[in-house]
This record gives sequence, structure tokens and C-alpha cells, in this order.
Amino acid sequence: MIFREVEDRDLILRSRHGDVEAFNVLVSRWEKRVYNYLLRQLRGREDALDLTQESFLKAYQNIGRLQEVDRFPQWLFRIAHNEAISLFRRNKRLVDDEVPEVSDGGAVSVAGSAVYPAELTLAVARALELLTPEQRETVVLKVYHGFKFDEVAEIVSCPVSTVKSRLYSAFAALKGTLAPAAKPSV
Amino acid sequence: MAPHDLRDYLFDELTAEQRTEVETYLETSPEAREELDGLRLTRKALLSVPDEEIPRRIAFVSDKVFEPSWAARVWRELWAGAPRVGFGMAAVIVAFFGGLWLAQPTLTVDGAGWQVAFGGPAQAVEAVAEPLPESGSGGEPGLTQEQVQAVVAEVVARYGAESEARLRGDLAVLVSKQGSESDARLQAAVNGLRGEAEQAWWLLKTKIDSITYTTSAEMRPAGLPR
Repeated sequence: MIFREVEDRDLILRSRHGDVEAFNVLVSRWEKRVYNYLLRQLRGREDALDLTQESFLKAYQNIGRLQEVDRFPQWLFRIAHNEAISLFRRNKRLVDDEVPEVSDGGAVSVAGSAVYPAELTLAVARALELLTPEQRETVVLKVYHGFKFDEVAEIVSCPVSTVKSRLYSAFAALKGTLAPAAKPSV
Repeated sequence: MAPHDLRDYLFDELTAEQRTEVETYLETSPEAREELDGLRLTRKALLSVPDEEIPRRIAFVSDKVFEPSWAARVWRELWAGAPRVGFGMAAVIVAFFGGLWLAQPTLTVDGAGWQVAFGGPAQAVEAVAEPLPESGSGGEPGLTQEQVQAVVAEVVARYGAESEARLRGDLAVLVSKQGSESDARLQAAVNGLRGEAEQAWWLLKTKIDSITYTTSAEMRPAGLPR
């Protein structure tokens, strides 16, 4: 892990001096994470892919402005976050504007009963859809990408207290739906 | 009551000391353990959905879509090569001044222009040859204004006096012959005197030009064509 961080740092420094190949390696390392971060917010693969590409383009164009090389992950995710916000505004299709499909009593209504992995995946997807975009983004950054509270705050540009509030309220909602589903069957 | 938020404990946002306090509390509180189990299960459920593989590779910066503008490339190259450019310029400057020091040049600035001589005055070479002044133009090079005026005054005085003396002599001859010669011949003689005066003035001007040219050319090193 330490080696990986050192290598990333070296790649970033080389990229700042115009080393295209170094940046290519950075892209190959981070593209999956950025893509999945955007996918969990946008829910559309094409949009997620387009924004991932756009995020890396902007990262390449602005990598000289990155002040602290060690903060590259937050910086990169912030670019992706901004791209997502821009897309929301362009398309006027904020996720919370869309009324989620009413559960047919299947995957989401799983409280109290164990489900198969595929059902659990669907339940998670549906449970995440019930969150606000801000709550969902906080959960994604914290749970799936392991950022600290202050790092999430930096990415989404809001106070740490707001990040905590969003995560706690999101987890309260998710726990009621998912915890029973994740419980191993007896 | 838990000493710290169990969610902060779950997400590893507590210090080591705080974690110890929470763990001590958990040993004594079944409700807290149950609450924490619920949170862990929720996180486990979320993590059960794995990351998707990216459908196709992101266009790398070597692709056209990532190619920066020519201005950005030039700027980046300049910026990236700044130390090299700096060292190169420093080397050129050192070489230039080192060469100057070895050649021991002498710089002379006067009314004729500026001259750089290398290695000593005997091998002096005019760096920039000023064009020769047009005849009759003011401010001849090589002499000060006062010197030029003095030379001109001397030439005018000398040739003017000679010309005047010759004219007076000729006039005296004419006056002595006046009685016997006709008006027509007198007129011809006057015309001749006028031509002679003009010739004398032309001669005077030629002399002045010659002096000016000579004084200017004296500034040239020996061997150069005049």
C-alpha cells in the first residue's frame, strides 16, 4: 500500500511535467473507482463513462494546479463530483426529482427475511435510490471509497458536520432496510 | 450511554484512546453491541454490491481527445525546460564574457562613431564604418565644430584674399585701358572677371571638401580602402 502511494506520487509528479505515459498509468489505476463513484450516483453507464472520461481530461489539464500531491484522490473525486453536478444541472434530471419505482414487495421489503446475494444486490440498489443524492454520495464516498469525513467534506465542498449528518441519516434509513436482509439465515 | 458515536467507531473516525473507551463500553452494554451489529450488517450489505468493471477503457491522454492545445504544449515544454534553458543561457553568457576577457577589447567612442579594437590599438579595426558625409553637409566627422569652422575660415581667408587681390589687379589693368577700349570690351572683361570669381569660389569649395574628406579618412586604419 505504501509502495502504491509512493508510485502514485511519482506518477503525479511526472504527469505535472508533461509525462503522458505516467498519467496514462494513473488513469488505469483510478478509472474504475471514479467510474463506479459516478455510476452509483448517475445510475446510467453511458453518463458515468462519459463523465469519467471528462474528469480525467480535466485532471490532466489541471494537474499542474494540484498543490498537494498527497491529496490527489480527493482532488480527482472532487473533479468527478463537479462533473456530476454539472450534468445534473444540464439535464435537470436530479436523481431526487425522479420518483423511485414503488417496490413490489420484493427486494426492498426484505426486512425480517434473508435474501440471496442477487436479491441483496437489488435491495441495496433500491435502498440507495431512496436516499437523497447528497446522502447517497456521502455513503458512496465513505463506505465504498473509504474517505475520511474531512476528505468527503473537501470533495463535496461542505462542512464536516454536514457530512456526518448526511451519513448518519442515510445509515439510519439503510439500516432499517438492509441490516435484516444482510443477516445470515438461520 | 456510549462515550462516543458508534457510527464514528464503525467508520474508524476515532482516536485509539476513544476506540478503547467505546470497546470498554460495548463489553458492558448489550444494546450498544446490538446497535453496532446493525450498523455492521448495513455496511456489509452495501459492500456486497461489488464495483463494476469499466465497460471500455478511458481515452488516454495520448489519444486525440486528450491532446492539449498547441499553446498549452508550448507553455508546458517551456515550463518543463526552464532549468535547461536557464543553464544554457548562463553558459552562453559565461562564454561571451570569457571571450571578451581573453580578447581584451578596447572601446572608443568619438564623433566619428564607436570603435572596438581587440588585442591592442595597433590592430584596431573599425567596427562600424560611418558613411562618408555628403559634400557640403554640416557636422563632418573627425573634427569638432570649432575645428571645422577654423579650417573653413582659414581657407576662405586665404583663397578669398588671393581672389580679391587678383580681381583688384585685373580691375586696375582694365581701368588703365578704359580710355582706349569700347564698352563692349569692358563688358566682356567684367564677364570674364565674374567667371574667374566663380572659378575661384569653386576652387575654394573643392579645397574645403578635400580637407573634410582627408580629416575624416584619417580616422581609418592603414590599409583600408578610402
